Amino acid sequence: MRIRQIRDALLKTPVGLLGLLSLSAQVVLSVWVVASYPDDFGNRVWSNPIHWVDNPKAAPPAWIRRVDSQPRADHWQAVRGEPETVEEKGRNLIASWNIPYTMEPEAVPAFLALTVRDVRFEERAPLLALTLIRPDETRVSVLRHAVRGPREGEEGPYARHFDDPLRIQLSADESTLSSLQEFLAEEYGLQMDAEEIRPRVMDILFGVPDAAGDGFAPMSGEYTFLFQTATRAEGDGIGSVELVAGGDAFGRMGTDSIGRDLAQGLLYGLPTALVIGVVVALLSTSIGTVLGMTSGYLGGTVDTVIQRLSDIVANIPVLPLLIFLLFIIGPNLTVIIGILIAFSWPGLAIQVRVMVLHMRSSQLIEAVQSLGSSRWRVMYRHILPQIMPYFLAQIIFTAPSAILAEAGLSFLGLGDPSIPTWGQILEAGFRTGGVYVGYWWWIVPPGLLIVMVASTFMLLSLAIEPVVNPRLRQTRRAD
Amino acid sequence: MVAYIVRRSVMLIPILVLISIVSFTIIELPPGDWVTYQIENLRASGIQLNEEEAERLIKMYGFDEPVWKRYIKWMRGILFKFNFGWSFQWGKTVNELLGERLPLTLLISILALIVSWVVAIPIGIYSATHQYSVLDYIFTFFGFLGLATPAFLLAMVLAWNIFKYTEFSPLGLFSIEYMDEPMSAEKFVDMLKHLVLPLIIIGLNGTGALIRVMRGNLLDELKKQYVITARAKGVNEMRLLFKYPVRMSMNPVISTIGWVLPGIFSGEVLVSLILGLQTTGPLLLRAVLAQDMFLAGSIVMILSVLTVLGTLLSDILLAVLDPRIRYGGASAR
Repeated sequence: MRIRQIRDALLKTPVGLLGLLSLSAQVVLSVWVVASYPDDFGNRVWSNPIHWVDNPKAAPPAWIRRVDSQPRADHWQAVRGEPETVEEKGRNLIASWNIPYTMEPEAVPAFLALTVRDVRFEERAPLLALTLIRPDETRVSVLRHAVRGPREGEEGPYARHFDDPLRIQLSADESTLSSLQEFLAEEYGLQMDAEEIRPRVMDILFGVPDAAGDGFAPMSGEYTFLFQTATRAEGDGIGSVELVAGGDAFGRMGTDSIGRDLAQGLLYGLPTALVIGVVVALLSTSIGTVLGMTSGYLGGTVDTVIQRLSDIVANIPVLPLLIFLLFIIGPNLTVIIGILIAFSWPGLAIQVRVMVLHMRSSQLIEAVQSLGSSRWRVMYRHILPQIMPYFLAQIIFTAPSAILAEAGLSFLGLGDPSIPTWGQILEAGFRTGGVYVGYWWWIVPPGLLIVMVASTFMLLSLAIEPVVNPRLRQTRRAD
Repeated sequence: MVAYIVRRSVMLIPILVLISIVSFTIIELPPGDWVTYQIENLRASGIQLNEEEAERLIKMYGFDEPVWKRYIKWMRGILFKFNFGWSFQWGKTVNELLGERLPLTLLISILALIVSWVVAIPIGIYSATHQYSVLDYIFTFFGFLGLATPAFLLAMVLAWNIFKYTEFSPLGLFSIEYMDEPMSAEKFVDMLKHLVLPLIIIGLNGTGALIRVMRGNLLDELKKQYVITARAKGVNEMRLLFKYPVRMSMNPVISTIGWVLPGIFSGEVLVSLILGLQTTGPLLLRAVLAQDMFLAGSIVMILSVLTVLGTLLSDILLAVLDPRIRYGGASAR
């Protein structure tokens, strides 16, 4: 009957309702995440730096601009497929793409990158060129690049950059440096050497020399990137071209130091945290209950063995041992869960044993026994139901500690790299010194999420506490 | 009383033996051993090492004997010569290293335990005597929030904020200016200042649970007949509260040492790592990562043994406080 009381405690108290609501929302979100993320998200996406190469590094979330009024460039990305115009020029076919880009006042992008995919040609390798047409109609030739021609012994038609796209970080490219040098000399009569230009490529591309003559003032307005390819034969060309202007702010949750979109990692951490919490809680509580019942009801040698075993396991500090085993077996989430289960049951086994000892001497059990019920029947039909509410409460109570334990391990760098968790995000933030540089968006959200999920279980256990511990049930004193 | 203590102590012996076996298993678990690893290292760096010399090295460190012989050798060293073995990584004896680190671990752990009691017991008493009051709800709220917050996160956030707003760096045990000075009054005060943060973080970690235990027990006691009788007789309310129900409800709190200590030792590893404290925690982590197995196994064993001793201590304390345990069934734990 007390199961029903638990249900009531969850559904009819504000604390219980809040906990249930929060848990259901998390479960729904987790299901969505699991359904929509690729299976090997951890290995193929999250831990793969190439996947994040076009993102700004350590950028705060985009909404920060509404909070502080600092000028920050939006992260901008444009992909084009088919060329807009193709014209014949001599023996060449010139294909052109016009990609407009708007620069907000003062918001110079952090970097500029060009990615070209799927280049194919019959004989002559295509030439690629990128020109920046600025708001004041000046033109900067940013890049000229020849795709690698036929290798010795290779037969046409040739395919290039199908598996590994051609990616050029324009803000750090040597040929961009030299063309900028030329541009400055021609347009403004400025002589600067490559080393002077290198750190301020973006300022030069998106600005004009200021009055003082030693810096560049950002020039906001409408820019156009003109991308062109020169090919020989019909059918030669590229699959797609992509331009990225790195922002100073990115996405909903910002990025970390290798440009990972933290929003994705944080979302992925939710189902992981829930699975860790629930699986560890369910299994360790089951083990504890079964062993406690057996120990208390059977007594004798079995009792002694189980109690000694729980004494030992309970007295070994779990974390040092976990560190140890993970180091030996290798960081693997299954191992972490397994060890957490193996070390979370003893307390419960001891408590359940005491409860069973009390019950065993009760008149109910005595009566059932004298009616000839077998030991297993007594345990299963008469003792287990009485322990059930306690069992449920313990599951809810164990879940958050499992989540916190995993976070702690990940924080030590012993997390499973193929499955990103909040602890790992925190660890990366701490290891790269994010705390001291003030990358709050990297540290605060995973921390808060851990606390939030753990608190949800805490709310649930707070709600059912009076049911499980009837002695706590007390009506308000009439004073 | 003496008989009770002796009985409890004797019961610990099998546990201690098993813990030592578990610790030794840990030492033996990693594939390969330190000597093989070093021999390979020497060969890789081009030093000619013939089979004989390798054999000699293996013999020197005793890796040629069967597992059980090595276990006995290790245990004999510990029991009779108080020698935990040799740390390959540091080139020092394990005793020497532990001598440097263990006192601080113990200091922090015991003080943290005291902090958590000093905070939890009064709050538990207040919450029970003022059940469903505003403060009870507030304490409950913060208690549960504390249970849901990882200690290392708290350490990180607090350390950073203290540093940001007070210019005082809470990392390490001493400020830089006192690092090489001999112990003095100022250095001691400086050390206390550095200890406050870890103590609060490690201590408050288990406080939430302790408050719940204390509150629940006291509520239970307060409903009993003897309280009503005493009240009816006109016993002063404060005296009534502290003389019997509080004493009774402290028992389970004291017996929690057993499960609070492992938690404190575990929590200490992470917090010390973040706050840069020279305790056994970071030492253990480094020992594990460097396959320095005697050191790592010794630390795990010593921490486990300390926990067992803590449990014994709490049992004795219980017996002192509660005559029923002293005279009757010792199974009430």
